[in-house]
Amino acid sequence: MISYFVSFLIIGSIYAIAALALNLQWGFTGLMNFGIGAFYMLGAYTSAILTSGPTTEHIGGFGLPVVAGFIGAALVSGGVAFLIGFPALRLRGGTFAIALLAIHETLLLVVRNESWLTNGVWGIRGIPRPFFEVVNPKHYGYIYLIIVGGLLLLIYLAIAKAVRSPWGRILRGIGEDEDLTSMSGKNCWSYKMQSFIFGSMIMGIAGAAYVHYTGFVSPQVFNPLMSTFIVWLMVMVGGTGNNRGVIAGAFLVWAIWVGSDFLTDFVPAAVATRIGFIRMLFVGIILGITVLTRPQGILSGEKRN
Amino acid sequence: MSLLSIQHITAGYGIQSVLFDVSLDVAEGEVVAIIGPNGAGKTTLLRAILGFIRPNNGNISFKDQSIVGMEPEHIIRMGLGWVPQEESIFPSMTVAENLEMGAYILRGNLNNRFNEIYNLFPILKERMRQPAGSLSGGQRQMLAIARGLILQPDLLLLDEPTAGLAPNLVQMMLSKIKEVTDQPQRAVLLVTQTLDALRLCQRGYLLSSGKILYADTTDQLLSSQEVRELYFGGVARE
Repeated sequence: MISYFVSFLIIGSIYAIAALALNLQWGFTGLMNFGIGAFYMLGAYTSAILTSGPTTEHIGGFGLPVVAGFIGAALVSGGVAFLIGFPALRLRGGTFAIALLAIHETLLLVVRNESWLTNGVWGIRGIPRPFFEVVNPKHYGYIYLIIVGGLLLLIYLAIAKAVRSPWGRILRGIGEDEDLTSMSGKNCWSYKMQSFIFGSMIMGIAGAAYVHYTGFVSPQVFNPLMSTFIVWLMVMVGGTGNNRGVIAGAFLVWAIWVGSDFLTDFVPAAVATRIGFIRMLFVGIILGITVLTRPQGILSGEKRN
Repeated sequence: MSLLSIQHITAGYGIQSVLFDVSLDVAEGEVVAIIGPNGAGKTTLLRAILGFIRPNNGNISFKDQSIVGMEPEHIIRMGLGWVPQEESIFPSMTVAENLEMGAYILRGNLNNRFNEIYNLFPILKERMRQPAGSLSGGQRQMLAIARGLILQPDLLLLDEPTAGLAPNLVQMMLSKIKEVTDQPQRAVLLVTQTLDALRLCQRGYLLSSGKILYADTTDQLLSSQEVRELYFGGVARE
């Protein structure tokens, strides 16, 4: 049970990292990124290819240290965001969101079909888990929880400091009123690009954190529901524009998601087999309640931080 | 010498033109009004000047340099200021942060600039640590004008600064605008639908359905029966 809880905290922390990144892009800068999964996936695969051992199944197997995997994940996600940003950031609002969703689906097709690069639908195995050799495998969850918890804290502090800085104030200005912000003499497009790249790098780091925990990656993980829309739910439930709120939102939504597994013991077998759909209903209800009763999110009373 | 010169511009949104063959001049230090009914294209004209909309035809020059196709942030750096219509503040930021948002491109010690602004709008100094979203309508509009002034623009574009204000606040706002327009080095292009604001100006253009119908001195515009009846409900001149 404790190991289940530790696993819950680890995945919750990874989602919280992704939610913080989305909050930077959407909550502060107003960029409706519906392609979170794309950057999460790029980070995951980059780190997997860089750090896994020699193989004939796909390119890579470079066996680099895990830290190099994380750095590579951030760089590749950020680099792709830079390239996508040129055409996509000319779009606003919903059209930007749809473009990013399409890019995610396109990249997912590439990952599924380009076996020489990603081993296709079979995925990449044998991804190293940091410090796995030095501890009892039974207690490994604690070690990884410390690693991912520290990463979450570090990213939270970095984003909180960034949004309070003059740089962050421009981002907040763009989120509130882009035209008015351009009256400060600043190039809003460039700031949106910076926010997009910075946020996408963090999403890439979240992807790397995921694969170094599971030791395996395949395209199934990166369907839009589990890699994009659930992160949106976390941000909306937690409180758009509120960093602590979105962390709380991430753990709450993830708790409801995994908690619904326990219901299988208490419901008729016919319902238990459909629990996957019922959990979506639960999450939908939570979103509905939040939107109706606390549209600013569960931590709406908090100052932006 | 003409500070801003608009020559025969046609502009709009997509294929829909809103302005047709509009020409307009503002000299250095001059206070000029654009009057006209709702939907006449007044705000569109300001947005075209600021580079948010690219004219399909014609030219806009500022300080003898064509600014057509330039990005808004570059036009602002040339000495244009803009106070958009209503709610043109950042509500989640404090009053001081809102002012700083307007002052990013200034270098060196900004205290003197801020003090000048606070002298013009003392209430903003009292409220400087308060979120701008908690200000009253009149205070918000003062903050918007203050932010537009902080870069000391040579030409300030004011878009209906008294719109949406309670009647008792309109006179106060007009007196503040008069303080702004009285500064001899500053030209102001004031979009308005009120007679009192028009009286602050030396000249005015009447824009209707995207075309300039009249261009004359304020006195002539005020004495035109047609203008008064069509756009100010035939209000008698005191």
